[in-house]
Amino acid sequence: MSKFTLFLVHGIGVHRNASWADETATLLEQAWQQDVSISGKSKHFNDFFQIEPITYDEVFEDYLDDFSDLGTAVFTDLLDLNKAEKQQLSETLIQHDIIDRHFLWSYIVDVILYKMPLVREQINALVAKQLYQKISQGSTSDNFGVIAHSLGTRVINDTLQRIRTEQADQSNFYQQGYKLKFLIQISDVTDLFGLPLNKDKHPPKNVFPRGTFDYFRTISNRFDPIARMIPTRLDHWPEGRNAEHYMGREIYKDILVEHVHETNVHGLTHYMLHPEVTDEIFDLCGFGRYLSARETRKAAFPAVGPHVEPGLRNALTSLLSDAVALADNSWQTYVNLVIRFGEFSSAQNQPTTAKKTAKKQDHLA
Amino acid sequence: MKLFFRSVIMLLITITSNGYACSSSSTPLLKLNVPASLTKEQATQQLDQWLLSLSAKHATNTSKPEPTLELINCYLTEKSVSSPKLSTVAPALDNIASLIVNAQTVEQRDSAIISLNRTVNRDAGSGFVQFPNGADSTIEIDLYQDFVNSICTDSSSSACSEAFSLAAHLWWFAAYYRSIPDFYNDENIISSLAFNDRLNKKWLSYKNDTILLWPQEVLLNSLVFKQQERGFTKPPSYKLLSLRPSIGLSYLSDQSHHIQPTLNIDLLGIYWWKYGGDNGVTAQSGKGLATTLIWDGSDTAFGLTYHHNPKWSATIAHGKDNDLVLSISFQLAHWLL
Repeated sequence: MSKFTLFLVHGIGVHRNASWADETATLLEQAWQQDVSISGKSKHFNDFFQIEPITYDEVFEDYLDDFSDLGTAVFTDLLDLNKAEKQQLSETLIQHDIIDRHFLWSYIVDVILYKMPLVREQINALVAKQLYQKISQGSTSDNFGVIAHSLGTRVINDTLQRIRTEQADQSNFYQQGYKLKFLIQISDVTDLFGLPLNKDKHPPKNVFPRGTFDYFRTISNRFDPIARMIPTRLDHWPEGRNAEHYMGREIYKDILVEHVHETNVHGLTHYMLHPEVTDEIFDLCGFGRYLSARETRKAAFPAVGPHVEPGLRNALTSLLSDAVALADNSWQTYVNLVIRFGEFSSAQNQPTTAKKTAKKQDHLA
Repeated sequence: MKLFFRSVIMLLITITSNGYACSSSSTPLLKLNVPASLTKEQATQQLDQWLLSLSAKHATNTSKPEPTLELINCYLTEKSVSSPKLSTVAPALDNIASLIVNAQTVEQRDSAIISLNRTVNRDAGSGFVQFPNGADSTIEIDLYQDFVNSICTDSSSSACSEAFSLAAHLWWFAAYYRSIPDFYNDENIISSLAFNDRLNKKWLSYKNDTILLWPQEVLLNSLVFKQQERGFTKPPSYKLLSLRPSIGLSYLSDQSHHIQPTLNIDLLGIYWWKYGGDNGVTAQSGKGLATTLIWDGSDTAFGLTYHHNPKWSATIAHGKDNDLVLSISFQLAHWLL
C-alpha cells in the first residue's frame, strides 16, 4: 500500500529548512492517534502518510542577506560604536526578543518581496522543483494533497498555474497523469495580492478544481487578523464550480473555526489544534469513515484554550457570546476583540499584553 | 431508480457468477479471498479495507499494460451485458487505453494521458469511482450505495459477495487505469527533473553570480520584468542599476589631496551578461554602464561608470570644483562577504 503524500507549504516568517513542519506533523499525528479508529490494520500514522514540507524561505533570506551585506559593506564604518555600546545594543536586542537580524524583516518583507515578479518566479520554480521531485517518485495512481498556509496559499496557486501551463516534459505533472486530490488553504491570502489597486496582474487563472485538484478548502479562524482580510473570491474559477459536487463530496467548502488557544492565532499549528481542521484533512485523504465521534468532538472543543490567562479568557468568552460583535468580517471581529480586551484591561487596571500572554503560555508549555 | 439499479446489479451478478468468459482471461484479475457469501456489514467492512489500498503501481508484474488491460476490458465487457452503466464504460476506457498504448507521437500520447487524467478517478473517502462513458462525458459510481447497500442485506448471501467483488474490481480498475502513464513517463520525468534543476540553477546564478541588487533595484527590475503568459519564465540576462552606492577611491584633479575616498552613486545603468557553463545556466561575469554621481564630502561630479565585472568599476566624471574625477570603486560585498 502506498502512502498519502501530504505537502505542507509554509507562510511568512522564518522557515530555514524542512524541520519547520515538524510541529505541524506532530499535531497531525496526535490527532490521528486520538481520533481515527482503524480495526484490523496497523494504525501508525507513518504507515498511511508521507509528510513533505515545501520550503521557499531561503529565497527571501538570500535577498535579505544581500541587502544586509550590501548595506554593511558600504555603511559599516558610519556606525561608530565602541565596544561597550555594541554590547549594550546586543543585550537590548536579546531583551526584546529581536535576536535574529531578520526577525522583523522576515514577516514584512516576505510579502513585499513576493509581490515582485522576479522573486515570485524564482520561488515558483523552487516550489515546483520540490513538488515534482516527490510526485514523480510515485505512481500516477497515488494520492497527493497540499496544505498551504498564509503566504503559502498564494505561492502554491502561482506555482500550480506555472506547472499547469508548462509542457509535459517540463514538469507539467498533470500532462503526465498525476493529479492532486485536494488543496487546503489555511488563512487564505490568495486574493490579497490584488492590493493596493484591487487589480491582480497575474491571477492563477488555470488553477481550479477538476483540472488542478479535485477538492478545495479554505479554512480561517474568526480571530485570525490575516485570514479573510480579503475574502476568498474564486473569481478565476468556472462559473458555478464552487457549488458543485464531485464524487460524493462538495468541491468547495469554507470552514470557519473559532478558537483561541495560543497567542499566534494565525499560526498553522494553532489551526491544527482544532479537530474540525484535522478531521477535514483525514476525510479528504480517504479516512473519513474511520473518524470517531466527529460532531461530538467538534462541539466539545473549547473555544478558549486552557493556557489563556483569565483576563483574556473572560473578554473572549464575552465576545463569543455577543452575536452582534461577531461580524463575518474577521478584521471587524479582531477590532471588537481589541476593544473588548481593552475595556477589560482598563477596568481591571491590569497591564495585560499579548506578549505577556505569550510568555505565560510558553511557561505553561 | 434505486430499485431499478438493484435489479440491474442482481441480473449482472447472476449472469457473471461463473467467472470470466473471455478465453484469454482464465486467471482472475484479483485474488480477493472473499467468502462465498457475505452480509451487508461484512461486505462493508471488506470494502472499507479494500479502499485503503491506495496504489496500483506494480500491481501486476507485466512490463507493459496491454495484457492487464485486455483482462479488464474482457471483464467489463462481460459485466456490461446486463448493465447499462458499465456498457458505456468498457469501450470508453478501451478507447483511452488504445490511444495511449498505440500513440504514434509524443503529442498524441500526452493528449490521451490528459484525457485519462480527467476522466478516471477514485476517492477512498467517499467510495466513488469515476470512469469515462463516452466522448467528453464521465460517470460516477458510488461503490457503497450502488453495490453493497443495494444488494446486501443483514442475511448472508452470495449475491452480496459478488456485489463486493464487483465493487472491488471497479476500484482496482480505476487505480490501474490511473497508473497506465507510469509505463510511459520515464522520458518526461527525466526531462522534467533536468528542466527544474536547470531553471533553479539559472535563477540562483542570476541572483548570486552577477552584480547584487539593492532593494530599490529589485523593485525596478521587477517592474520591467516580463513574465510569460504560460509556463515558467527564465531569468533575464541583464539587471538595471539605480541609486546604487559604493565606496570609491578617486583622483580629484583640482584638490590639494588628489587621491581621496568618495561616495559613488550609480544613478541609472544597466548590467548585462551571457549564460554559459554546463547546460547554459551559469551567468558569466558580464559588463555594465551607468551614469554616476561622485561626492567627495564637499563637491559633486557627474560621469559615466564602466562596470568591468560584478567586483569593481571605473568612473570618469566632471564636477564644478574638479575638471576631472577618475574613480575606482569596489563592490565591497563581493570582496569582503
